[in-house]
Amino acid sequence: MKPVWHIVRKDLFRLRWILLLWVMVLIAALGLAAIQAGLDDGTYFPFWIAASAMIVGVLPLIAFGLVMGLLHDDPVAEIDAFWITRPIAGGELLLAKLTALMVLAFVPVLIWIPFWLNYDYSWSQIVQASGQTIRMNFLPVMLALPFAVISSSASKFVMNVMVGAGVLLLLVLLFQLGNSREEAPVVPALLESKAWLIAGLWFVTVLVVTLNQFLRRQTRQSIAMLAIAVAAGFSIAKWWRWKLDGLQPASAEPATAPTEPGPDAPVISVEIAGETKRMVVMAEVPLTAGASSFRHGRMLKIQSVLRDFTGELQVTFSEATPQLSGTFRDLLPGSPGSPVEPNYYFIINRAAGGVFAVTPIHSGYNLDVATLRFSHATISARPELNWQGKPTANLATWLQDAVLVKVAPAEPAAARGVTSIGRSSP
Amino acid sequence: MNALETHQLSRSYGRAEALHGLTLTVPAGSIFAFIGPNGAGKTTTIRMLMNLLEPTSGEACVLGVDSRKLKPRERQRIGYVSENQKLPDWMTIDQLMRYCQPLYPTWDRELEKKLLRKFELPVDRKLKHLSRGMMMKTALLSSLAYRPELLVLDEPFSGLDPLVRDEFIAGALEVSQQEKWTIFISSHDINEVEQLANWVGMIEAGRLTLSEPTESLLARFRRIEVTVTAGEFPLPSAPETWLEVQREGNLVRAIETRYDADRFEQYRINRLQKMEAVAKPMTLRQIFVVQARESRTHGNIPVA
Repeated sequence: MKPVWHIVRKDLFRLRWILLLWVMVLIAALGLAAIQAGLDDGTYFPFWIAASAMIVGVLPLIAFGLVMGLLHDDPVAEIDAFWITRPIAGGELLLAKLTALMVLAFVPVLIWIPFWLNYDYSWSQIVQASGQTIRMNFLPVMLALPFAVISSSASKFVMNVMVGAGVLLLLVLLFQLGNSREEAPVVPALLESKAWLIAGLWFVTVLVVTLNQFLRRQTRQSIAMLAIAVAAGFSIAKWWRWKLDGLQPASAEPATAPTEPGPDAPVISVEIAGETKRMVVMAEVPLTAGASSFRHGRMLKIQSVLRDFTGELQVTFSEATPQLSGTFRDLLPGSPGSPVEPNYYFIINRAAGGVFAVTPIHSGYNLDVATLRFSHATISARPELNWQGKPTANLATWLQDAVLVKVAPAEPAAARGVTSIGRSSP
Repeated sequence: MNALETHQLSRSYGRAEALHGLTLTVPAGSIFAFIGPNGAGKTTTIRMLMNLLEPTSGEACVLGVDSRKLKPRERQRIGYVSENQKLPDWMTIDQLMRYCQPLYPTWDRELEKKLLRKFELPVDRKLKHLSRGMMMKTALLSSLAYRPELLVLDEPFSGLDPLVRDEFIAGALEVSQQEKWTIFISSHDINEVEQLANWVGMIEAGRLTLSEPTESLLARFRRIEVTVTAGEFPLPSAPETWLEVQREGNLVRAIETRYDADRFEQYRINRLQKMEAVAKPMTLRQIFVVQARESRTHGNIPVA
C-alpha cells in the first residue's frame, strides 16, 4: 500500500489548484441554494437555478478535468510514460488512481454536510444525500474514464471526447431516422429496460477497458472494446424488445379509467411558461390530510411538470421550504407504512375532456442535494398512451385547465386530496 | 551471467519489420554500446527490453527475468534514461527526487546530493523549465541515485552539447565503475560512446551485424595499405577477410576483418612478394562505417 498512497499524495498535490476551484464551486452552489432557502419567495427561484446550473454544468466539466489530470500524469496509453520504467505495478497504479477518485468523491460530501446539518437533515437523510452526491459525481467519471485511459495526453483526451460525442450524435441521428420510419409505439417499461441494459453495458465496458489498460496496456484492444460496446448499445436501443423482469415482450400499457375530482378540490393559480416539453410549474398547494392532521393545510410545492425526451411527463412535488424537510415524508406514496398504489394520481381536464393516469416512480421522498430541496414524489405518465377521452394537440393549454387528482382508496374520503394545477377558477 | 539476453527477438509495425530475429547477450558488468543509424531498431529493442513494447516474436531476458514479466522488484535494480521518456515536467528536480526516493529501498541520499553538485542542477526549478541537457542529467540522476545493477540509456546524448555530454558520461562512468554495474547504451554516433564502451553491438536495418568486446573488435580490424613495388598486385587473390579492396596508383587499400599479426606477415611474405604492407589500427568509428557500408551493400553480415 505504500507506493499507492505515495502516488495518491503526488496526484492530489499536483491537482491542488483544480481541486481548490472545485471546492469553491461546490461551496458557491450550496451557498446560492442556502440564500434562496432564506428568501420568502414561493414563485421564482433564481439562486436555485444558478446553483443547479453550477452543479449540472460546471461541476461535471471540472470532474472531467480532474479525471484527465489524474490519469495523464501517469498515462497508461503512452509507451514512454515515466511510471512504466519505475518500480510501480499496473495494479498499484490503478489502485492509486481509484483511491484518488474515491477521495475526490467524498470531498463534496464533506463540504456539504455542514449545509445539510444546518437545514435539519437527519442522519439517514445525510446518508441518502451523500449517496446521491457520490452518484452525481460518478456519472461524469464513468463517461470520462474510458477516454482518459486510451489517451496518451490531455490534448488527445479532448480530441477523443470530441470524437466520442460526434459518434454519439451520429448514432442518435441514425436512431431517430430509423424511428421516424417505423413509428413504433414507445413503451416506458421497455425504455427503462433499454436504459438499464445500456448503462450496465457501459459500466462493464469501462471496467474491462480500465483493467486492460492498467494491467496490459493494450490500447488498440481497448479502443476495439469501446467500439464494440457502442455498437452493442446502439443495437440494444434499436432492436431490444423485452422487459428486464422475466424477459416478457413489452407492449403498450393499458389506459386507466377516468376518475372525477371531488367537489372540494382546492384550486390554485400557476404559471406555465414556454413549451410543454420544458414547462416549469411553481405552485404551492395546500395539503388535504384531514382536519385532525397537523399537516392539514400546509403547503406542498409542485416544483415542475416536465416532459423528458422520451415524451414522459413528470410531476415533481416538494415541501415549501427546506426547513420543513422530512415533515411530509410519510404523507406520500412509497413512504413507510404507505404502500405505493398503481395509478395513484390522475390528471383530468373536465372542460376539454381527457384524463391520464400517472404513476409514482420515486419511492417516498427524494433529496435534491443540488438545491437543498426534498422532492417527496415524482409521478410520471405518457399522455399519448395513458390517455382517455379526447387527445389534446397542445398539452400546455390542456394542463392549464387540468386538475391533479390524488386517489387514496383505502383512506377515508376526507383524506382524499384533489389538487388543481389549472387556472384560478371562479 | 548475462545482464541482458534476447533470442530471435522481432517486432513489426504493420507490415514493416523494425527488428528481425535479434539474438544478443550483454554480459554483466560490461558497458555495452548498441550502435546503429537512425531507424535501425535500437529504440525498439530497448523498449522491448524494458517491457514498454511487446515483441511480435522471440524473447528477451533482463537480469534473468522475462522482460514481459518485469515486476517492481526487478525495476528497483534497473535504471532507464531515454530521450523519449516523458518525465513529470510539472515537478521540480527536488520533487522528482522525493517522489522517486520511496520507490527504491536502495536510494542513496548522499549519492543524490553528490550527483546534484556534480551536474550543477537547480533543485527548485521545474523540469519543464530545464534545458534539454539539464533534463537528461536529471533523468540520469533519478536513475543513478538508487545504484541500479543495470543502467539502460537510450540515445542519452542526442542533442546535447559536448560539455554536457562529457559531464553525463563522467557521471555515469564514475558510479558504474565503482559498483561494476552493467550499462547498455544506445547511440547512432559511435564517437559518443567509444570512449566508455568495452563491448559493442551494431545493428543495421533491424538486424544485428556485430557484437563483441571492443578490445577484440579493435584488434581484429585493420586498415591494410600495400605499396605495389614490382609487377601487379594479385587483386583477385585477396583474402576473403579483406573488405573494400581498392587500388589508387601503386597503393592498394583494404580492410582486414580478421587481423592476426603472424598470419598477416606470412601473407605478406608468401603472397605479396615482400611488398611493403602495413596494417594500421582503426577507430571504432571507422569500423562502424565499414560495417554499415558492407551491410547495406551485401545484406546481412554474420555476427562475429
